[in-house]
Amino acid sequence: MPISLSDFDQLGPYEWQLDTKFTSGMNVPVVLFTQEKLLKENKNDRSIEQAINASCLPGVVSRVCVMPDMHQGYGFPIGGVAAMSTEEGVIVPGAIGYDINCGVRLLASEIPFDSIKIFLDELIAEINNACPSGVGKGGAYKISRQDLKEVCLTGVRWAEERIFMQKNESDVIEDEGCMVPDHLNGISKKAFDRGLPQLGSLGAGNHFIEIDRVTSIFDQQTASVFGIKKDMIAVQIHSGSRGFGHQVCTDYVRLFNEGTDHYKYRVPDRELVCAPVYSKLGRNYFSAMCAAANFAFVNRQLLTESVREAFNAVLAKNGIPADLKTVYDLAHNIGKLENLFIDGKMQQVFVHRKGATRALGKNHDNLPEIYQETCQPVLVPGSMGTHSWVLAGNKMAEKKSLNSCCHGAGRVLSRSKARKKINASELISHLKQKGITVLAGSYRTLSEEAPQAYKAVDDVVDTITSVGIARKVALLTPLSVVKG
Amino acid sequence: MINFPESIGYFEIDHTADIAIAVTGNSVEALFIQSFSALKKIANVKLTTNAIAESSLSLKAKTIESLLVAFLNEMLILIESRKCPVCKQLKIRDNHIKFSYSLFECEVRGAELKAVTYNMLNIIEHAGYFSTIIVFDI
Repeated sequence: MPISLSDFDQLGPYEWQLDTKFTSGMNVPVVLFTQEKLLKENKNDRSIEQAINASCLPGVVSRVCVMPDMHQGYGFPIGGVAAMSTEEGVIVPGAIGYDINCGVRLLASEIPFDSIKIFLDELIAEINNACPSGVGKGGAYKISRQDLKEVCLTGVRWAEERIFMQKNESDVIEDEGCMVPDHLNGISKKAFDRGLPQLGSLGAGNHFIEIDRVTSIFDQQTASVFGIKKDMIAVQIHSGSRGFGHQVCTDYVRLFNEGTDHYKYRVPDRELVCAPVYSKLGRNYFSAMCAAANFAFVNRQLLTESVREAFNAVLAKNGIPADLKTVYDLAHNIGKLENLFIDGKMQQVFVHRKGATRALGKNHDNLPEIYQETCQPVLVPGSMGTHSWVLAGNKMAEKKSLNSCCHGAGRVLSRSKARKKINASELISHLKQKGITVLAGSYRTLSEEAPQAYKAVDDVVDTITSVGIARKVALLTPLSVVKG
Repeated sequence: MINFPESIGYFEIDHTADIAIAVTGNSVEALFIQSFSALKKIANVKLTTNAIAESSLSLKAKTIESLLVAFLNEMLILIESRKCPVCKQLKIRDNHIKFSYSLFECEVRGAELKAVTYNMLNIIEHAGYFSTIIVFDI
């Protein structure tokens, strides 16, 4: 079905609402946070159609929100957020995705760019050695099957007990780095087998580790609380739950496809197959999803430790202290129970975010004490050739976007078009001229992940801040990147 | 509407976030083999040894589409662990596949396929050819 902005009611300069009358089956409106030039880049994909499909899911409440970095996914749009009633609503593995708790961690430092610019090539090579990347590559840490089960049950507390963490580091991880599963009985042996060798590895595709320079500060007071200072070095880590999470989702999409006929749900796409939130199948999936989320939290923690070791190895011998502190670690493929103000009252709902992050405003119960006044850090990575943004949440997100925000720039070119248009070796040279070193596992990945394959991250962030979902704190400029 | 090539095979179609392929075969078995060939091409799999083992796989599913997802997922997991099956025999009856193969060690230099999805998956038969679209999560 061809859909254009003229089908939407304009609620504000960058807010567009598609009413439930647009097509039969919609239970709630679809709200897009976007601007025309960003939307034009989605004209050939099915992201809006996928958002409409999400609005037809049983028990969906309030609105389906779509962020400005939206693009077509497999069933649920990337950049989509949907909240479900816990009584009549459903849990949808495909609306969380195969890479459960794929997310981003930001590390800040007081290392001046000027003091380490001559070591950058050595640093990124050391990080590349310390953090295994590529298809199915094993992790840097060898763990037992019992360890893996403890990771699944306790998240980063497993790492804390092994001194893989700094003091109070778990405070600045979403959910303190642990989503508590009821049990691990619903996780297949295959998932454990895939996860066991992969803890502490980056993966491939759009996953990366990037050394950045903080080039602008927009909110000095908030940046100061976040520990971000102009011209200092920062590091972003983007990875997820690796083969463990992929297998959990694969298993449950199959189980949901085979075991939910009796609910007689009519889902418009089999990737949106679903079960009631509190059904046995729904609860089993949620437990397994929590375990996979914990795997991802620990994975990013171990990658953090590897990055710290690499910094120490290169900088300590040159007399430069190399302390990297976690600013925040957040998920952008996740489902969770949250309290949201909907239809005039506070309700517990099950929120699905796929390619979207949580964005909490001031004094929220789920914020760590140090961020109660500043609001939650929201991390918006650009592509490897453009800068990234550090934002802070806003109370407005509760009203407008189900406490959610964008997760990145968002793809605009398909992978096949990117490969046809972009020559990887020319890209490496071009980035080198801009002062950016890139190490990648394959030329294919480089072409597919080139900056030209993404929307302009500044336009995405300007849309978000204009709507008032979040506010600008700092700008990061890439220096060196490891692509998986 | 996708126009499939006349011969059996596969080709990539545009998909913004992931990788989608259109596959066709002159039998259901051929469709499965072509789908696996596409997976190997996307992952850029290179065999590195002589056969290291002989093995077999038996899978059942409720629908032929579910069977294709299950089969490709098994292949994906083997390749992730740097082992690539080479088909010796593949039979499909009543949504039940029996696949015997030689196993080779391999290198993987292409895209990381996280999963095989059901999105757009619909096996249709037309004039003796079986075809579908498969979307791989990247």
